[in-house]
Amino acid sequence: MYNQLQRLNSVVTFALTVAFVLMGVVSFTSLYQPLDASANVKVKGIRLRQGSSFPDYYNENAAKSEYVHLAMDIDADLTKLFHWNTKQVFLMLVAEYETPKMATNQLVLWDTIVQSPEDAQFKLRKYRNKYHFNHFSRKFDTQSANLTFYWDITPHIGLLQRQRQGKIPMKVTLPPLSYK
Amino acid sequence: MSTITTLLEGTIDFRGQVMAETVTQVGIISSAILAFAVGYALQSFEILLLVFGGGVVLTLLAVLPPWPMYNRHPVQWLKTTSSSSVSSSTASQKEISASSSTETKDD
Repeated sequence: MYNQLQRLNSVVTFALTVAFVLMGVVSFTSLYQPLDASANVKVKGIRLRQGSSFPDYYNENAAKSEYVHLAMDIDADLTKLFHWNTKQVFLMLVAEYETPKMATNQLVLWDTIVQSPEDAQFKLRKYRNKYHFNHFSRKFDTQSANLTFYWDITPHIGLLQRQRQGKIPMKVTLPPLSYK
Repeated sequence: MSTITTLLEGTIDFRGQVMAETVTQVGIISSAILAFAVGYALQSFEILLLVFGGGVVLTLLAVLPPWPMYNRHPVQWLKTTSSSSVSSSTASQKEISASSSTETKDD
């Protein structure tokens, strides 16, 4: 505190220490915010088709696998997830199913990033799945799958929180192959 | 270089240093509390950062320059003495330093 540079040093270091404590308090409070969002999906159309992930015109024996094509209505209201320490919300629609060999299989079918509470309420009609819905063994060993929403809440400061849709997941029954 | 150092020197006296320390602590801690309250009330992280940053800038303005309130108690140095009494004065200074060292040990 004797001369100006020493005062600058002590003020800035003390301010940084207090800022660290302040950020800790902020991240602690945001852990206990009431977080309830609603996101629902309705399957309007479903088709099971066989094909390759991209067309291979020169190789008729190219590996083909079964793909599920969906048309979905998505209603979501994530405004309650936006409190003062929310930077963005990552919403994803996950298909979960069991096969005789594997107890849990999870596939992300669709996702979106919501960055402001104004964009957090949306109704999407007849959206197709954004990512391929196929099993890694190329054939589905199962007849049904559950569609569930997950969301990651990215804070300005603190821990990333992942939440699962609280309600009963949407059940999807796979139809027979419609195209070979 | 010497001109820059003299410009940045801005020394203050001992009482002023204690005062500057308290001003720093009170200013920054109160601005942190105010920033948290305002940010939580308005539900805005940005406002929290702005209030805290403003508080730090105000504290810097209050503490950094050698304001006259920090120089109200300048150190009164002893007057220079003649060569005959130098030895006695150094002896008394040694006593003082010895006593002060014991005090610090007690702390």
